[in-house]
Amino acid sequence: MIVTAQYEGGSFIGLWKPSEVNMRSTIYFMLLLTLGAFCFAQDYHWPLTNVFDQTCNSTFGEYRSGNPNHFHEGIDIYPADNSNDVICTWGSYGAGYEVEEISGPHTDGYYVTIQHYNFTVNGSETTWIEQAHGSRYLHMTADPMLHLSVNHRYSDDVPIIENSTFYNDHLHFEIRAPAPVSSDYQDALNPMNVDANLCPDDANAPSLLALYADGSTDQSNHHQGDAVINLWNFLKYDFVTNLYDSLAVYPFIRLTLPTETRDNDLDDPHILISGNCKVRFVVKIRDVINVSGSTCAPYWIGLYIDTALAPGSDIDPIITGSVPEYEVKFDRLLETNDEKHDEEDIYHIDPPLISNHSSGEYYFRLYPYDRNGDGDIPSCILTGSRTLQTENLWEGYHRIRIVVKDIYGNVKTGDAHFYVRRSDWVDYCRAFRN
Amino acid sequence: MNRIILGLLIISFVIIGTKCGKPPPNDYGGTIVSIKFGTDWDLTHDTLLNKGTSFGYGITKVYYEIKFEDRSLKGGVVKKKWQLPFESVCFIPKDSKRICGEFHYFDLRIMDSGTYQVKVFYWEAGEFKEYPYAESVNTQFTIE
Repeated sequence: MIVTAQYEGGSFIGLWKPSEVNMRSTIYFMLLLTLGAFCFAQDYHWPLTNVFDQTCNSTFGEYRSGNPNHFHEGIDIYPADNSNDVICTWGSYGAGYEVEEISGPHTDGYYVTIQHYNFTVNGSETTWIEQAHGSRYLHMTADPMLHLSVNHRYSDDVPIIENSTFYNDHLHFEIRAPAPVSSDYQDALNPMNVDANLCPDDANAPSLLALYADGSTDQSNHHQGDAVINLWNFLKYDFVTNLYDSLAVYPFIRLTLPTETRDNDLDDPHILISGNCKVRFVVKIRDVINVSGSTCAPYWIGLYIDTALAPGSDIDPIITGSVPEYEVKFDRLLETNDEKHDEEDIYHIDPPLISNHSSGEYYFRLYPYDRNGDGDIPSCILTGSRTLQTENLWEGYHRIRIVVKDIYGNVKTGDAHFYVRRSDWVDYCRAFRN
Repeated sequence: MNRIILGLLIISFVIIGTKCGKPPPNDYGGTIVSIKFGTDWDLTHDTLLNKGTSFGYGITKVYYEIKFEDRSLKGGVVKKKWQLPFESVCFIPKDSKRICGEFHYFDLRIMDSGTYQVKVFYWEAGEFKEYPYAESVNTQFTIE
């Protein structure tokens, strides 16, 4: 089909024929719109100056032991030369802030909490408009009170601190909505998800390292399984030797997740589940952003089962929009006083069951877990009521695909395969493309 | 000129007629064109060895290979229903041309004498539907 359009005398036939007055009004209107957009456009700025790269060595949602235990409400920014200015993240023309609180010096430096504002100036009169968000800046060693005062308002070009060093060489940076009030620091947002300007450079996909299968019924140690798990070889392939890690912490079975080759399932771990067939999984993940040696929590984890059952076949489920069985997403932490969680609720910092709250790899539960038994599931688990219930699956072979991504969308996937056995017979098979 | 147009018209009618006469393959189904059984498996070439439809008493494991034609632009779930009180599903990715597996007792005890038949189903629109089989397809084996 060919579509033709005619252009005649400055207007599309049958649509609109502007008069000279209309044209002039339109131009004025567009100019005003542009000016308005320029004047009132605000966005977020990277809060540390004098840096070449936006580096980050700790991400939102990571577990922190302390008083109380909590998940990391911000990101840790790594200063390039440790003598930087900290600026208000809410910036551009007409932006400002009010200092809500300055505390310190603590053993880990000074803390500054601010409320974000917009302002307009009309002659000698300044009108301040409170915004729905604020931010916090921690670990500066220089004293902010040398030039800032609590409850005073400043334009965004007034830095929060100048030429400071930092406790442990990092600035802790948070965004809260609503803004922090007094010592009430609820509703932390993941800064990386708030504005693209707050995303550090990151070309590295997360790493999916291992899958722990838990069939134990030992409730005293927080197990939820009720199954017999066998490492399994079939069609003369050896999955056990290469993919089973004998260093696993009993009663977990630890399976290596090799570099994903999506068209070849024969390099993935295979297990056989029998008995009551109830197995729960923990996955070992880390994300490296751009500070060498850093290990961070990823932004999003999803678990898919037999993905072809969902619309869009078994192509990348993120692209097709398939609904995961289980999902953890670190974009907002409510952090209310009754929502302080132990690391067990979402993940372990050390391998499952030896949880010493030390730094290292992250082991995420692929099922909701209510350690305290009070129905209080962490807010970062989006599909808390959904669990991969192996005990309810059809007898036979199934595949789970674990998808993990960082805030940039760098994606890593890993597959594991299992057979649910309910009878004396086994029919373990796989598909071939040729 | 008119003859050329008439010629093109006829050709296009023929093409349309051919296409309309052949039902398109459904998303998950297709036809099963071959089912083979064997008592050994070639790991190097991923093929059946010692093929047959009748095996002597004493074997503990039977390998099988099921080939499809026109199957599946998408991935899906296939169910094999053995002539036993036993059936099992199998997830297969898209573009799969065949499924191969091993069928045996969990404890690898000697399989009983008798006839073992398998029927194959695909999952579509909330139910399992049996595949059509090509005429030559044998769906069973016996153990003497």
